[in-house]
Amino acid sequence: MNPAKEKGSVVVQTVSRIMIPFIQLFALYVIFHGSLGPGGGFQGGAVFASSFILYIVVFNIARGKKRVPESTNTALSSAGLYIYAGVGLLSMIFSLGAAQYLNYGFIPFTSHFEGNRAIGIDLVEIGVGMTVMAIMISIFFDLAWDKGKEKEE
Amino acid sequence: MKRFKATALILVILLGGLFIYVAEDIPDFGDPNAPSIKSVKLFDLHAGPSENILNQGGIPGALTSALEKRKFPLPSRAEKVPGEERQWNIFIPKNEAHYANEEKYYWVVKEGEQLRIYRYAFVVRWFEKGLKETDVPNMVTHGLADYRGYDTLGETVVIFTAGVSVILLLRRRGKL
Amino acid sequence: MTMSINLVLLFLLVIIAIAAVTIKDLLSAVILLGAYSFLMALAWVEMQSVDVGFMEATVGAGVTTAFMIAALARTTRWEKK
Repeated sequence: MNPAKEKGSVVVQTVSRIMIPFIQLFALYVIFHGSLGPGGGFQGGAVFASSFILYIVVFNIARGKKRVPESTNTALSSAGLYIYAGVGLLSMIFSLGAAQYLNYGFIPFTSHFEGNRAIGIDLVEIGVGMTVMAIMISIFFDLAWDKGKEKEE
Repeated sequence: MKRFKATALILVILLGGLFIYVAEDIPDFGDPNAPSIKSVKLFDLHAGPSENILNQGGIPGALTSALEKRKFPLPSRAEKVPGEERQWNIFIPKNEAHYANEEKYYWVVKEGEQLRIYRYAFVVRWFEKGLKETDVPNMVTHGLADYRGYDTLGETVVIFTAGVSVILLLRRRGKL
Repeated sequence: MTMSINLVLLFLLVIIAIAAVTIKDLLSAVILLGAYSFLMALAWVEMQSVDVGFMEATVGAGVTTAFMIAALARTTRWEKK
């Protein structure tokens, strides 16, 4: 199966090629401004995943798999969970076991207890966003119907 | 089959009637003083001379023993609710089992000869102290990621498990 | 004013839900569910819970529709009698 052979509409491809970076920028904005306005890790991750889904739909699955390999997806999905659990564990480590799990205030990012909690919340949101993005792309890869691959089987 | 349909229709009508009946009690959207949001009622006490003691900031002995009997956190001092007659906030001392600082915990209202003892719901603390405690203006975010951190961790684990099971069920070949 | 907006939204929600259940074309049903999610997001925003509305708009109207269409591509489009 040659990826260059399958051609879609030129208009759709050009428009989505221009739009996808802006969608991803908006997704990052949603994740990092989850503490100031509406949004958060889950929503930002879903928007980020939908930008890649748009890429897969407009071009084909082979090019999508080249751009977002499945091994990267698997690694990212568990890495997000490890970030979440690791931030929770860090608070126990830095307070020498005095604080509870997921009590972000004791991680010494800044000198203020409340500021530490804000940064801990941001880190946790990044972890949630990574997991949601990777899992949604991976589910779409598994559900999507690849014509060439079906013929081989 | 027809009997099932009739039973289902009756059940649906009953459920709809229940919803309409319950909808009378739903508070207005975003009202922080709605009864179901603000407090949980614990018990009643006979008032007696305790109003004066509460006004001076002390705790009546009957209240302490009643709380001790029910294994609630013990109070340390009382304070008048600003702008309200016959209502008091009661604080619990430092280093209670789950609270490091002194916290407002009970709410006492005198009605007639009875003292009504309420416990403040968690939402009150969330409204009043959330921004100060976490430096994050968005209430939903600091609720989800800080106060209810275990919940969000579990939610992420659920999504991860769903993705892994889809990989195991649908991905026929290829590298993991 | 807000009450009338609420009523219009809820009325449309009920109509779209009934249409999505009864229609025989599954692709149309999926698109109708997307419309349902979008109207639900509007209702959430009208109830001043912007976060939930955002979640509904991204996950319900965006990603779930894509998943369902991808799943539909593996089966048939028309519901069998």
